[in-house]
Amino acid sequence: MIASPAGTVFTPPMESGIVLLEVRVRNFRCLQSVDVLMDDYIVLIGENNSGKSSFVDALFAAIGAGQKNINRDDIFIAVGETEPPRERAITIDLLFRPVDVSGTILNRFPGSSSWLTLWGNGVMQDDDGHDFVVIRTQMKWNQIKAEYVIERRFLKEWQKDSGKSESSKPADVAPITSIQLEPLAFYLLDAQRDIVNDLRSRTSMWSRMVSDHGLSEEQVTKLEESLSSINAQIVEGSKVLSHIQIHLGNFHNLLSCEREGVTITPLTRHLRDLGKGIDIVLSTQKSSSFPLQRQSMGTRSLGTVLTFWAHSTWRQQQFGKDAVHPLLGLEEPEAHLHPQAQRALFRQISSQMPGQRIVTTHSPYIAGMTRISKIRHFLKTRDKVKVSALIDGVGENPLSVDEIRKIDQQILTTRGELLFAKAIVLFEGETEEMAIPDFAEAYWKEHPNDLGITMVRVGGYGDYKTFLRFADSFNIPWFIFSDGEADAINKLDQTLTSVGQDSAVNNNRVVVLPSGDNFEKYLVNEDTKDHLIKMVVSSCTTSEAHQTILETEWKEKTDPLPDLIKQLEGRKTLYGSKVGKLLGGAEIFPEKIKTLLDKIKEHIGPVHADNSAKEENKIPNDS
Amino acid sequence: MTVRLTKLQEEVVGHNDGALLVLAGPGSGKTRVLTERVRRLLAQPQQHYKVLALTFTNKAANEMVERLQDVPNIRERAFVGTLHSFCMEVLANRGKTVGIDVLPHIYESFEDRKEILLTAIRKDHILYGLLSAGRDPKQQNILLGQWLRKIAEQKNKLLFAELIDDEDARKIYEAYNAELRSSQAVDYDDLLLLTWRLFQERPHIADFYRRQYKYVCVDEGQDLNEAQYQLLQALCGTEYKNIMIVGDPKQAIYVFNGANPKYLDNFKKDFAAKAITLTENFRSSQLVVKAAQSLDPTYHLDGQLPIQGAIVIQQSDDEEDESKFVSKTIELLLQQGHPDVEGTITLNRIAVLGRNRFVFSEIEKQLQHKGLQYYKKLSMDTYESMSELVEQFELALKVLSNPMDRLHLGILLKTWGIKKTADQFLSATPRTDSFGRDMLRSAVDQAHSESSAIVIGAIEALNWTTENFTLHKGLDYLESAAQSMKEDERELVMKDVAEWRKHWEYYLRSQSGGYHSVPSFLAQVALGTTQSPTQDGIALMTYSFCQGNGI
Repeated sequence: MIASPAGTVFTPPMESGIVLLEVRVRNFRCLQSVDVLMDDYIVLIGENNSGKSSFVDALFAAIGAGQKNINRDDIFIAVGETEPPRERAITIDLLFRPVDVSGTILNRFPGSSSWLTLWGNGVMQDDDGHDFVVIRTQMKWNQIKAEYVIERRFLKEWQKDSGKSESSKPADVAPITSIQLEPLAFYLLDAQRDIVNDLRSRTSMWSRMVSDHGLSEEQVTKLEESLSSINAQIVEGSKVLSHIQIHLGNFHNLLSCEREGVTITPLTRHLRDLGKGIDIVLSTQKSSSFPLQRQSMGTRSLGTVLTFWAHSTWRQQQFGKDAVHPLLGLEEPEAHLHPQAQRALFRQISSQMPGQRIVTTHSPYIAGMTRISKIRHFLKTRDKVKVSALIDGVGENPLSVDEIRKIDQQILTTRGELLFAKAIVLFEGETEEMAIPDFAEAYWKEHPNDLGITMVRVGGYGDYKTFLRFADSFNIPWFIFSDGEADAINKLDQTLTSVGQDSAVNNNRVVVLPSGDNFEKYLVNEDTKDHLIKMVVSSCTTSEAHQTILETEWKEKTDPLPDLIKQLEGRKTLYGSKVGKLLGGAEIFPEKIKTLLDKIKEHIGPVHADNSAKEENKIPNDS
Repeated sequence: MTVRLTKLQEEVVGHNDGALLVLAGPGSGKTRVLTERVRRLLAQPQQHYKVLALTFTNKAANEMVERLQDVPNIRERAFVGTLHSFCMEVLANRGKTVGIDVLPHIYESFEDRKEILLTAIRKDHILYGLLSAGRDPKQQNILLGQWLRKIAEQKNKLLFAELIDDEDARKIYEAYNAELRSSQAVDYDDLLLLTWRLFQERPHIADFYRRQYKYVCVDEGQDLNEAQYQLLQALCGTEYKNIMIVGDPKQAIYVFNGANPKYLDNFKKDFAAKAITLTENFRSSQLVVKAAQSLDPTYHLDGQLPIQGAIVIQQSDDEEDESKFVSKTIELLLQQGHPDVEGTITLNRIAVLGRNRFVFSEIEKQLQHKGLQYYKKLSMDTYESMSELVEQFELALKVLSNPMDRLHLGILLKTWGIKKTADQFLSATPRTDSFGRDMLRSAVDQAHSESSAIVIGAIEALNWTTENFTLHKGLDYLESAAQSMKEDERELVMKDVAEWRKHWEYYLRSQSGGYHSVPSFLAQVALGTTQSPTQDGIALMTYSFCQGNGI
């Protein structure tokens, strides 16, 4: 009944005995209805404002560690609505199942499971008799109280058909208590994290950890005595402090207190207050040490991540590894870090950090280190957010293990940025690779990169398939710009058919060069020849005299076109980088290129480069 | 709280894994060892398990929970309740395969069930012929009662319709069940039967409870009947042995239910249970037993009697004189205590027994006069409303809770002088979430009864939704409406309202969180879990009550 990532190997091992398998969010902010399959870690990608943060916030609203600040403004509003209708409720359903250490899903909670004791009759059985737990967080309008009320219930069932999930019945057991949620508290490290703030804030994870130092009363007394004596030594040794202390002694004239009762304490006298003054000092190789506030934002942000790590392992030690299920939401681990550090951090997060982790990222370096099955792609179209994942055997048009492996190898490891593309343009040749972006920039007056359009040269004939499967799975629009040779068209048609697409001639997303042409041949014609000759000549000249000779040579040719083609085909890297700029600069756009560029523009609509826009959704404070 | 235990009691409390049968004579501290064992099991640090403690009455369950109040998260760590409430939990969430998909409504009263049976019989002319053949209504009524008892008997033997050989008997059984289900209801016996069936057919569900509850404790084992014993066996399966049953074969009181102390022997055999016999009687003192023997030389009490006790025989001139003596003795005990009693004596620890309820009137006068608080324990039945108004309100609540409840809707319609039948109302009202309330509203519109307006007023005051309601607001409404009634009727209403308030308070306390639905409240009332275990003051009890409660 319940889909699970088959053959999943969890790293590090799942020691808690449970796993969060799926999250279903309904009517939360921009997420009208999304289902996200979980894994040991998943990486959320998508443009700004595509709903990644909303998803993480939804989890926080459901089981977050700290204040659950969810309110009526969080209810999804459809286009054209000013107010959500009363009957619309925010629903966040979390499906848990028991697992063994290797992450293999168990049919039953073992009798010794802490979760069985914790959740008791909230644990349900599906039709096959397998244990599962669904925790529903719902905010809905309460007629009696005339306000929105948040309620957490165990559900009796988990709908196979996620479209019916809202109709699932709550179990006839008491509402979920905070005690029942505490062991799976979800921690959220947002993009603004800063260890320096954490050190100061009373409500941060850091402060909560260090406020209870766990020293014995005896030790405390002893240490506090030494603190007093150090204080006395400081005051004695410092002329200015003793001066102040004597004058402050006059308090006793004004208030009823002993003269000896007035002391200055340069250091705190109570051990419990020491936590407030804790600082972290860092010295990198060969440099002197600096406190953290003098370190870069990258280091400070990293500090928060490491503190969380310490916090989870500390909780595991305190309550037992089988009684705590660490869950982390980490936004943009790449923040302020250089690529090598991004990779190193992510390697640790993905392979060593305990519990389940949800990472949002815009970094191709990080995306490139991920296996495709861990990626969750968020795409916002008009008012709907769609989340897709490439998990073998899951989804409408499931991919095979082999296809997924190919995507991992051919795309993810080398072209992580494709995950972030708004549209992908595919072609075969080197010349296209360099020239088409130049044509596009000249035509659109904007560089395709700025528009989020990625242009990719596929290795050779037939390799379109992996890209098409990938793009389709993540709902990324794609376009193909193909040679017109019979061979090429044949292979392309085969590929298109195999992924369920119309053949090239009938396909609106494919532009094919005139019959028999390759790109170079196509570029060379009567309109372009003068420009191209100029380009060839200037590229080959070694001196002014040489140039004159070459120009004459070309002029004397009765039909320079075949020779031009030969030139372009022979030195693709050289001319490829020039031809687009040259022709585009001269406002010469060959028909097929124009067709391609118009199609793309038409498909993605008016585009504004808007990389600076922050996600508008507020991020809850970890307090 | 530290509790003094004897060596044998200690052994029971200290028992860990394996089946255990505790044969406990009267006054040997049965409840005490049971409670203390649960407490000890739950006190084990760093252990992940829960305890299932099954009592025979809800009063016993509530008492046990109160005694265990100091165990942190007791309601989360242990299920303490009757076998029936346990079944209710099982069926409500896991009963889909035996036809129970939501919290079932329980028809507990014999009269209600008889009405259901009659309706069912009337629908089948063969069965109706069987019932009416040559009998006057009174005889028919008697026969109906016999049939109903027969059905209960069959259910208690875990017989499903298909297993009944006699064709008529099977048809009656089937018709009755079908009628119950059409009202989305079950009876008490169904709870056991269906749960047993569920455990049989879906062993992993029984297994789920075994994994969840590492230890099962059962109280009053002598009162187990076939269905209950089989259910316990199905719950435990073949491997699970951590079950302890406490019982006293000599105290079997529920024989009418098919109960039989032989199941204690079966348990010992089937589970290879270790047996411990508690013989010391801390309830009966030597002198009391001696006195009993002087009245009845054959009277014999097993076990040792560590407490000496005291007996005073007082001859009084009249009832007033007698009651003066009683109240004086009470005052003396309160002031001076007694060597046989640990600690000071409070009102709550004193009981006055009487032959019947009428002998208490003089004593009540005296106690009132002296300002000594008391309460009467006269019958062990669940509370029944005395005033017509509250009775109607209760019916309306049932309809609100379960609109398909044709029986109670029908009674209500009749009371309000409405000619239409329940079925006509059911088909005329659109099925929305507020189906039940809408029917009540239109019924009141057609009613020829003053009380109906008050009842609907009280219903509206509940602020009812399918998920929540506030009973006390409805009760407030009834109370203020009663102010304009005649004195005797008013008093009855006030008494009923006070009783319902108690149920409500107890219900609120037992339901953590803000989820209070009418069906769950009524189910708890029907199961009797809302009866508060103790009242304040001196208990005035009749002999028959004492007998019934094993005192």
